[in-house]
Amino acid sequence: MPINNKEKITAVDAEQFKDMMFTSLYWLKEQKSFIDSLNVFPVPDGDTGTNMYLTFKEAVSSLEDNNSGSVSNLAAALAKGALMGARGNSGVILSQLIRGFAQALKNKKKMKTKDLAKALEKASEVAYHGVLKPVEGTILTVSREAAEKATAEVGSVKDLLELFEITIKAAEESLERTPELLAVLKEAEVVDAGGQGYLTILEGMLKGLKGEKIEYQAAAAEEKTRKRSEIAEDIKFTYCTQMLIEIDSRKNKIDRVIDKIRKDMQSYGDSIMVVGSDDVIKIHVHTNHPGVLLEYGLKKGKVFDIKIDNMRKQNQEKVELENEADFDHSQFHHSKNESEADSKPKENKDAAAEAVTESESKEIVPNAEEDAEIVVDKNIGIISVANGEGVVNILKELGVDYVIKGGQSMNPSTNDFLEVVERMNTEQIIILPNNKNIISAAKQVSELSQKNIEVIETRSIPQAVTALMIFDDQASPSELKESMEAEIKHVKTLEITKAVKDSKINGLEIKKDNYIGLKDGDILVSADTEKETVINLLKEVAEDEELVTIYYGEGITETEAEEIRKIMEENFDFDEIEIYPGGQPLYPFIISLE
Amino acid sequence: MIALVTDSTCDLPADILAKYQIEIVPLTVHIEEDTYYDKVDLESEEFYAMMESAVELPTTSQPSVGLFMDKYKKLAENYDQVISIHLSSALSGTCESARLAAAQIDELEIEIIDSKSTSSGLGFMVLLAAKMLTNDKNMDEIKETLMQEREKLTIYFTVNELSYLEKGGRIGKAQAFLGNIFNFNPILELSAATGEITPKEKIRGYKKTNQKMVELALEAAAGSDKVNFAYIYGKNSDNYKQLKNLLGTELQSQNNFEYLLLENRIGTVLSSHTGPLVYGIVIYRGELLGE
Repeated sequence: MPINNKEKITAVDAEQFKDMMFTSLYWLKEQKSFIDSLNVFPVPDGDTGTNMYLTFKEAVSSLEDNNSGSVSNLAAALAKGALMGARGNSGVILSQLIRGFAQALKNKKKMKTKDLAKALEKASEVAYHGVLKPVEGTILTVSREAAEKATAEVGSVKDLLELFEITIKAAEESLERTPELLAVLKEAEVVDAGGQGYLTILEGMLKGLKGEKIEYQAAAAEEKTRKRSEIAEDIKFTYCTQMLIEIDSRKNKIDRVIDKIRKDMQSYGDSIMVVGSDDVIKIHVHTNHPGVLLEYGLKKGKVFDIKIDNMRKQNQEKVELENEADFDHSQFHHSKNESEADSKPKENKDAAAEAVTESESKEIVPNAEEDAEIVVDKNIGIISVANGEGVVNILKELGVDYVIKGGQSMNPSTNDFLEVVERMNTEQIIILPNNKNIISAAKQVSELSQKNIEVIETRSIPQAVTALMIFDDQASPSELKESMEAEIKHVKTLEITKAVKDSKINGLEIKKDNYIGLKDGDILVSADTEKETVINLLKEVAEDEELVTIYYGEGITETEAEEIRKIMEENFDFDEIEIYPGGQPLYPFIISLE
Repeated sequence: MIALVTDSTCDLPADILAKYQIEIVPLTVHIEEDTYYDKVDLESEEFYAMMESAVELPTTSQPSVGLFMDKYKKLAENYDQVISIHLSSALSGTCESARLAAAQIDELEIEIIDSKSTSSGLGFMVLLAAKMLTNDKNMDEIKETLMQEREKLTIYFTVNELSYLEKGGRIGKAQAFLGNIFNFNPILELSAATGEITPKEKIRGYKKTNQKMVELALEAAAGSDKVNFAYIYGKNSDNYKQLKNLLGTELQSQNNFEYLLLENRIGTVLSSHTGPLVYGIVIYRGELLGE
């Protein structure tokens, strides 16, 4: 129901709160490419806009099946979803902001003007608290200054709309000042991307409150993860079966019930998803026996919103219909809730459904074996993150039990880690994220799991290799963290990549598509060719290292890698140079010196 | 009179063997359908050349029961007691062959001792027994001493490729080190506690490997005021030479203990299982076994 702009809004009920969040999600989606473009570093990096969007999407998705009439419950679900979906540093900070926001709304059936001010303040407070070394000139500053303004003005505004407008203006001004606080922003002549993301979310909430509709256009541009032919082969279980079960939450600990159901589901089929909030659990399974599943559900509680689709049939029709387009599994789930009372603006609701299905399609599609237990024959399970067949194989050979696909431009979420953690048959686990932008999402896992987990703060593949060399299965995860983090200080990581845009950084004038050379994450040189970049970089950083390891990336031939070795032999005095096909995307060469 | 018998894996040089009248029973190595007695028929250099050209890796066997019986019978002509010290029973059936042979010889009192080691580790135990014999110690005394002293042996070694150990089935717990993509240098330990080969460290770069091996050797030596060391090696490589430099310098610059430093080449049987590029350090914390 569109709301008249002139009308005063002094409180937001659950329905409106949901609208605000869904609208905000869509506004963020519209803006995410722009936010990505604010990336300071010209490296193909974990993009802030994308990470914040994916995190927020996970959060908002958790409202989809939540019919609670209270803002408090919705906010709590939002916070949980954000925590699970957090990816990238910006995503992790956003999840902390939402957590604080939800804390302030506890026991509030509606959100009044003063509640919003408190929520904004608490959001900022919790976010600052969650960051080890808060840096000013970032999303933190924007959240704080916006909240300060909201708190100062809350007594004099006439309603929520006005408070939002004032807050957003303060956030804009704060964002404009970020280059003054953070030198890298100034040099690159941009504002902080995370701050921009936060501003966008606030703007989106206001749009939702006003009943504005966001034209949804970006769907076509969204990447599709799978090809039609692949999915057809993947259908081992015919029926996509979904249901909601109402559990008596006074008698049962919901988390335990979810765990139990998730385990039980393993024997029914694949693509298992079991999520829950308060007293409702949602089950999604691909199975050949939906009837048995319903009986199972009845034993647990009251079953409702049952949905059974024959995927084989749908897939066939799909194949017939769409010859050109990539197959999108989310289509299977698209029709749900169509008949629900049409209280949300139409576009937003579709958009919301799309958001949910999109995230589901990512979560649900995995192969059967990806739901199975990960059998670790050691005391300590090892999880790592990498992209590229060669690199993955090396990590596995060195003892990693599960490699999550990801890296620079694909930051796995907290939930991605959590799922793997829970599937491992061991209580002690170490995680090697291999990227500075993935560390914090990995760290949040220990909050969500009972297992003894340590994150070894590896920022590159060579660091992971060095750490794994001294893995000792008899040590405890915390002992390993100490010894491994000490060990990785002895290895230098050099990376060669292409600049994704023009930029000025560290006094270098970098043109798009130039090669840039990084040492331990810092851009030090730039040149026209890969070879030149390698030589210039080595000249800057090589000291008395003995061993060089070259991992050549996707699109580089062994001959080209050998040429790099030759150059090194001619110009430098290393004892040993080893070459491995890494197959990593975006980085023609990753080189370690030790 | 007590005779001293060992097997060809003790890696003691011919002059020492002659000096102490140490009797050797050779293990055998099979390569390209030919069979050779270790250290008798084949020199190391020649063997490495054959290894490189052979399609299949060489295999080895413990000395046959008959070979031991022949040796013991021959000794029975001049001796009435035998101490027979051999390589670790966790690595080879040699001790078992010796035991079976001994059970069938009535003329002699034969004591079979499992050194729980091999190469110069076994060599040090044999030397110790030889010294005790020259000091007129009796069988029981020697046996008792060896059972104690073998606990003070440690061997650290590195191999260029783990595949030799793997194919020979002698890798035991070092299995965890196996892989075939990524290159690193394993430091392996032949521990006196179990007589088995166990993985010790994974290291990248030979200088760091050597450094670590020297560190480990000095750690193993710590606390003892007399220490015997032996370099053991297959092919003479630059990496091995660098290790010798490193340990040599370290030993000269310390005054925590008196030491003896030997260098013994590994025979064909052991190098069949380690590959030619094996090298390492044997540490025995006990009375110096020099002249």
